[in-house]
Parts: sequence; structure tokens; C-alpha cells
Amino acid sequence: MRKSITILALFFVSLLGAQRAMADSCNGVSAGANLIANCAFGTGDFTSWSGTATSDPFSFVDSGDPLAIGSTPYNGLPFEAALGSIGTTDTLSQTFATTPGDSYTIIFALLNDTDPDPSGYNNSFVAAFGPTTLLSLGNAGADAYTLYAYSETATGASTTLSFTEENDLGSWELDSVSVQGPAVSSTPEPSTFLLLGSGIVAMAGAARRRFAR
Amino acid sequence: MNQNCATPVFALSAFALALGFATTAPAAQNHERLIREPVDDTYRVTLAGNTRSEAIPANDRGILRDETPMNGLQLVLHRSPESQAAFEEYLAELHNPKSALFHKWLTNKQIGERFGASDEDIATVKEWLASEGLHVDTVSPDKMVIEFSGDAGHVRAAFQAALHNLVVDGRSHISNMNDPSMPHAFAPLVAGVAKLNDFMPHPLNVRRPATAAHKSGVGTIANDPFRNGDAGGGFNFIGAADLATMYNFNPVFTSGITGKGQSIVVVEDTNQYSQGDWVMFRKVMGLSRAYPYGTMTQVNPSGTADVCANPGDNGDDTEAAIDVDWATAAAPNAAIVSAACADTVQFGGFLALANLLTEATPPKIVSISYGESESELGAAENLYINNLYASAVAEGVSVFVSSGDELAASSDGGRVATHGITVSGFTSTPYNISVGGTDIAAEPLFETATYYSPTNLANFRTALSYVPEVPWNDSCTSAVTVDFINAVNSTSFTQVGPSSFCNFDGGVAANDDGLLGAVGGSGGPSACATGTPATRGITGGTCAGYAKPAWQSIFGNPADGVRDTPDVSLMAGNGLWGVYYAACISNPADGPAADGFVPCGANPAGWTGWGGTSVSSPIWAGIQALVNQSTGSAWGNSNPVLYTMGNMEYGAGGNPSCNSTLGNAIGSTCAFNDVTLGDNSGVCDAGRSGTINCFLDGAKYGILSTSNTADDEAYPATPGWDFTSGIGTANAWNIVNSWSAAVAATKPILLDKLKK
Repeated sequence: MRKSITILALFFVSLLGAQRAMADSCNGVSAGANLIANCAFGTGDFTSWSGTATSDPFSFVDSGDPLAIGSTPYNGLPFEAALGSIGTTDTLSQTFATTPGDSYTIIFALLNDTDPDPSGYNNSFVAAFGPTTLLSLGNAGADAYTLYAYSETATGASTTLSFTEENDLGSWELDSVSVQGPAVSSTPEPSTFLLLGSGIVAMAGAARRRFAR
Repeated sequence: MNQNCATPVFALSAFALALGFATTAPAAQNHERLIREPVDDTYRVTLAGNTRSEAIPANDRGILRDETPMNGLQLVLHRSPESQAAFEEYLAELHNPKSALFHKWLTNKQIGERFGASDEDIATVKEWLASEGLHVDTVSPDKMVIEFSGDAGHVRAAFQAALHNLVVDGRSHISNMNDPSMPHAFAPLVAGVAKLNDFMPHPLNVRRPATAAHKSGVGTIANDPFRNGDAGGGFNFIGAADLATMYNFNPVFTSGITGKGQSIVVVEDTNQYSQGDWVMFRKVMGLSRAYPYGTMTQVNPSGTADVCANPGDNGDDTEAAIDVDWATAAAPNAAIVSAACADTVQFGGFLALANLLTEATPPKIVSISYGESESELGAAENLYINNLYASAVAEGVSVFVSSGDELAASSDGGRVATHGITVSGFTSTPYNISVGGTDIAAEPLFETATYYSPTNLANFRTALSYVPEVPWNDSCTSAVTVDFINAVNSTSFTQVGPSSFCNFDGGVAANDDGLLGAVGGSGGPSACATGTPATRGITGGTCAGYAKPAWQSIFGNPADGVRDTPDVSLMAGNGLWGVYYAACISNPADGPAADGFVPCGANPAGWTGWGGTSVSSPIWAGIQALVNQSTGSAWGNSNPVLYTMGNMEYGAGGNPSCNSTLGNAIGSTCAFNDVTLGDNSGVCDAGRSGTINCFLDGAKYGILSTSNTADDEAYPATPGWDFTSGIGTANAWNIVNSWSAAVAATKPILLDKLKK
């Protein structure tokens, strides 16, 4: 009996792992269709993301910004990225495979939690899809979450979605990031196969040990 | 007829007192008339003790033109002895937890109605002012100040005071050259004019020395420990997380006591330069997200006591920024209010405070980071301050005031002392909590490895625990400094005399190190709150200090019969031992970019650095905010509770387990850390008026001493209360948690004193 429970537990662990690797569903785009991993920072950190923001002490993943209008992550999600580089710009990015000439839909939610100050404290935010600037904000006032959506054509075999920011006095809260290509596939990602596979292997191993007795 | 009214009023007051103040609120109107003779301009009384020491021929630049406007002049009123006694007894009852009047705070208007001047007397004075061509602007609701304005010609004629232009230290001023006078009939009511000069108090902050520019090493001893700016060769700023660790704020915050719902007002004579600086301070120090309810607002209060002009942003904005930064560090969810009026002839911060006191909901905690010695302020200004704070306390306001940054020589502005022992009149009243300054002693005790993390922890914290403290003393006479120099050099410098470090190489070495002066936490006995010094700036003549308050009775406090300062302390060092406070101040007009006067970056090591009791005062105000939140009450003058708490800790002979030198081994229940090592004695010299409170011991530079012929240094740190740090520095958690017990024990002290 105990062995059966162990097998079941291992199976569910493998399923959970698969779900984690599939990352969050964002903006109605299923995890399989979303080219952005960890799209809502559901891991509680910057897993799958790159850039200087991931090591800046004033940028982190939080479960709600008490300074923000609304103060909770976008649309009831458990986490959000708080980006607050001081005196210089940081970048947060992901690179993914694209097909040149194909059109991609980019969606993300963004808010600014603090007004700038004329005595030399600034904020700026630039979102870019490859070489194309999607959004550029400078010395923006505090606001609530806004959902930004764009459609852009890829120019290379891989494309980087980047967010470049400075927020001297506060933070940009970034959440629910999705990039969806024209050929939406529900095929699980390789990493999902890997995790599912490891769970199956573990189950098989456990079963074999049980039958071998 | 009005005189006849006085007797029953006071009889009623006495009856109410006898009944233990069974009534809950004062209702009776004070109709006692003090002006009892005809107003005769030819029969005058001189208002002695109201001429600045700078008003001398050497500084005189001629008569002030008649048409020069003079605004914000204030006639300071005093009560009859009977009315003053009744007011003081009422204040005592407000602070007596067993009294029916406990915490039944008055409004400013009620103070005026019960204990202020009669309307008839005020009308008489107003009539006279008008007859002299002067305009009455306001009468404070507590009826202790009549504010008026006019031109110099009419002011000169009314008060028979020679009004002149002066230039002092390169700055233009105006001042009366002789004591003013007024009709003799006013003498029982009018104490004087505050004031007929425009000398302002100084903000009590001291900048961190620049590492490279300071202390060049010319003429120094072989191994000058201070050559690079501090003894350890590097600086270590204190951030909010360090403060919370050293003084044990963290468990208070964790318990949910963060200052939420409380307001702390810092009074200034300047607006803040930048709201962004404060926001940045909170962000980088890790306060903004952890304590998101903290706010900072700038106000120019337009109450009914004074005319308040917007001062804009001026050179005191560094002080204003330090105040709001460190108040929020101590009470991070509190609302910080920076209240400022433009200076008139009166300090704008006082104008702001007076107006705030007239509001429907006056502030409950105030911090003042400015000062001026009693003997320089003059009798009328001292009384003005005393009355202002007394009204504040009657309204439930806790007034925290920096003790000063001039060691025991407040008249000397940090220079080599020549005016003897003096204290700041801003901090010496019985109605304020005087906040002194200590320094962090890890370096001079060679214990930095024990107390500092070699790398920054969260939110730039490096302090690992409570750290031993000594009095803040940047003078070459400091015993701690002399001992340290000797230890690292194998020299045998003495504290005083020809073999002292102060006199080594004719004072060049000490001067080169920035130690030839009297900079450090102030403390001493009130000595010239009333009367007239024979020489302005020097205690003497008919000078007298405030009487010792009933609550100032504690082990270590001398039986000197006068109010002694400070009451409490906190770290205020500006870097002598490597430690200073970081503050975010970006105004390029305040200093060079190299010293941090630029928009603040992500590391406070690049910010401006400060010491001074102007930092310790707003922090103590923050502690009071935690107490007020915890107890759900305002406390007015907190000294009766603080001294009771100190008595509970020290008993009759001190408490060795609370000795600051124990550092991280200090007793866990100590509310106060008892600073016992070191002194706040400064270097002195024979001045124009001779040798005053200075033991030279045959050398050029001596040590501040209560004797000119013996080394009775002023003052050493000792067990229990002392003139360097008062009761001691704070363990915030223990203070908050001991408050109620101390309140319960407060009554016997008050009542014992009242019976005398």
C-alpha cells in the first residue's frame, strides 16, 4: 500500500514539474503557445529571464506592491516583477525561436508605482521586440496596470523581447507577458516532455521493483 | 473691578487643586489685570538682557533707515506669579496618571482663557502700540504673545532702542544696540520684545569630513590615526537597518508598532528641497515597501498665532532633509510633516510651531534641530521659547529638541571655547525633552570585527548588534581620543596641559585633524535662562537657570537646583570613529558633488554624511511615535515617564548590566544604555574676557572645566545620568514595553515634588 502511494506521489510530482516548466498561462495564451517562459513570474523569481535586472537589488519578484495603485499583481496572479533600477538602466529579457516574416502578438501588463521628481529622479521604460521598439515611456506618473498589446513581424530565427527600465524612486511592475506566433501549437515543450518522461520512468522503476519482489 | 475678579478666580483654582482636580476641563476666564497704573511714556522700564553680544562698535555699520520694515516683532508676555504657579500645577496634573486631569489636554485657546493675559490688558497694550504707529498683527490664542509690525523708525521710538545695521562674520544683520525700554506700567505683563535683531539659531548638524581634503597630516604625529578622515581609514555609514539593529527597533516593528497613524512634525525655517530625496531615502533604506504607510508632507502652517510666510527653499534645507530622513527611519509608517515659516526677526520654525498649536488637531510629536545658547538668546527670547513649549505640553505635544553640537560650550559654535560653559536655550526649558549625542565606540575600543559585518547585509546593514558608545566628542581633549592616539603611537599625551595632544606642535596636529574645537554632543546646566549676563554669551551677571523640574531626580543627576541637559541621547557622531549617518540631499547649492550633493544613487555610501544632535532628536521623536501608537495616547512632556523609567533601571546606585561598554553583552532588559566611558569636555582658550571655565594647566589650550585652577572637566560620562548623554541611549523595544510600568510608577515622583 505504501509503495502505491509513493508511486502516485511521484506521478503527481512529475505532473507538477511539467506544469511548472510549462509556466503560467498569460493573457489567455496557453503555456504551450506562449513563447515566454515563466510569463507571470509564477516561480517567484526570474527563472527563464535574463538581463541585469535579475541581479539588481532593487529589482525582484514580489507578490504585490504596497505602493502601487491596486497593490496586487495583475489580474489576480500570485506574482509580478518589480523593476526599480536606480540611476542607470537595467534590462529584463527572453530570447526565443521565431520564423522570419511571421507575425507575433506581444502582450504584457505594466504599471508605475511612483511619480518621478524634478530634482533629478527619473523613470523610463522601453519594451522592444528584437530591434523594434514597442513602447517607450519617460518620467511617467504613477498609474494602475495597463495591458499593452502589439503585433510585430519577426526578422530573424530568434528574437529577444526586452524590457529596459530605470525607476529611481519606485518600481515598474511587469506581469503577464506573452508572445504568440501565428502557428499556435498545443504540443508540449521539450522540457515538459523531459519532466513527464522522468515521472514515467520513476513510475516504471517503482513498479518494476514492486513486481520484482 | 477687574482686580476684584482675580481673588475669587484663584480661590476657585486653589479649591479645585485641593479637591485633586476633580473637574475635567478648565472653564474659568482669567480676568486678572496686571497693568495697574497709567501708561506713561515718560516713566519707563528697561528690558534688560536683550542686546546681542555682536552689537558692538566693531560690527556697527550705522543706523537702520527709518523706513526699513520690521515684521514679526513679538511682545512676550508673562503671567503673574500666582497664575504661573497655577499653570505649572495644572501641567503637573496633566502628567499625573492618578489625577482626574491626567491627559486632559487643553487647547491653545483654553490656555489663554485660563492662564493667559486678560483681554483688558491686551487691549491696553494694543492701544499703546497703535499710538506708536505700530500695527498689531496677531495675538496668540494662548495670550502669551502679541505680534506686531512697523517700520524701524517707529519701533526705535516706541522702544527707545538704537537699531543699527551690523556685519558679523561677513554677514549683514540688524540689531538693537542697547536694551529696549517700554512704559513702566507694562512691566507686570510684558517681559520684552522677541526680538529686535535678526540673528537666527543654527542648525545642529555637522558634516562628515571629506576623506581626502580633511586632515592633511601636516605637522602630525608619526602615526596619525585620523589622517584619512577617521581612525580606521574608512567610513561606515549608518542606515536605517543599522539604527534598527543597534537600538533594537526591529522587534517593535515586527510587533506591528511602526508609527502608523502617528504624525511627527519637524519644524524648520525652510521648505524641503526635494520630496524625491525623501522617497529615495526610504526606497534605498528598504523602508518604502516594508512600511508603505509612511508619508512626508511640506506645510507652511497659517494658524492664528503668527503670520507665516512661505520660506521657500534655503540653506537650512540640509537640516530639514536630515530631520525627515531620520524621523522616518525610526517610525517608518508615521506621517512626517515638515512645517516651516520664513524667518522674521523670529525663528521661522517657532512661528510654524506656534501656528500648529492653534489648529483644531495640533501635532502630538515635534522635533526641533536648532539651537542658540541661553546667554545669547536674551531674556525675552528665552521666555518666549519657554512659554511656547509650555503651551505645547499643555496640548499634549511631546517636544524633542537637540541638545547642541558644541559640547558644553554652546556660545562658541564649535570653535575653541572662550565663553565658558553654556547650554542652548532651545533645549534647556523644563518642557522639552533634550536629546544629546553619542558616538559609536567600536573603533576606539578596537572591536570593529565584533560589531561590524565586513560586507553589507540586507538594506546595507553592517551593525551586528548593539555597539558600545561614548559621548560624541570631536575635540582633542576627549579622553577616548587621547587614549586611542597613545595606543596606536605608544605616546603618552595627556588630556590637558603642555603634554596634551591639543598642545602638541602648538596645536597644529590637533587643528590639522579637525580636533581643535568644541564639536560634540552638548550638555550642561541651565544657567542663563533669565537675567542679564555681565558679558553677553557668558554666564554671569544676574543670570539664572531654570529651576530643576520635579521629574529630574535620578542617580547621577547633581543636586544643582537647575534644569540639566540632556535628558536622553542617541548616536550623533559625524565620522571621527568612522561612523556617521547617511542622508539623501541632492541640492547642488548645499555642497559639492564629491560630497554627495547630487541626486542620490543606489548606494548610500555616495550620499551626504552627517552627525549632530539634529539626527538624534528626530529619531527620539520617532521612538515617541512608537510609544504613542503602542499606548494609544499622546504624552505631552515625556520626561516624567522617561526619568521614572531611568530610575527603575538605575535605582539608587546605577546598573552595571546596562553599561554601554558591555556592547552586545548588555542586559536584555535595559531600556537605557548607560554611557559611562569618555566625556564631552572641549578644548578652550583664554578669550577676550579672560579665562572662563577653562583649566589651562600652564598651556595655551586647556580643557573646559568647572574650575579654572583644577581639572574638573565639563563633563565626564559616569554611571547613571550625566551631562554627556543624560539617562542614556535607547533600547526602543524595552522603552516601548516599559512605558506603561513607568507611567504607573510616575505618580510618587511628581507628588513628592509637588508637596515641597
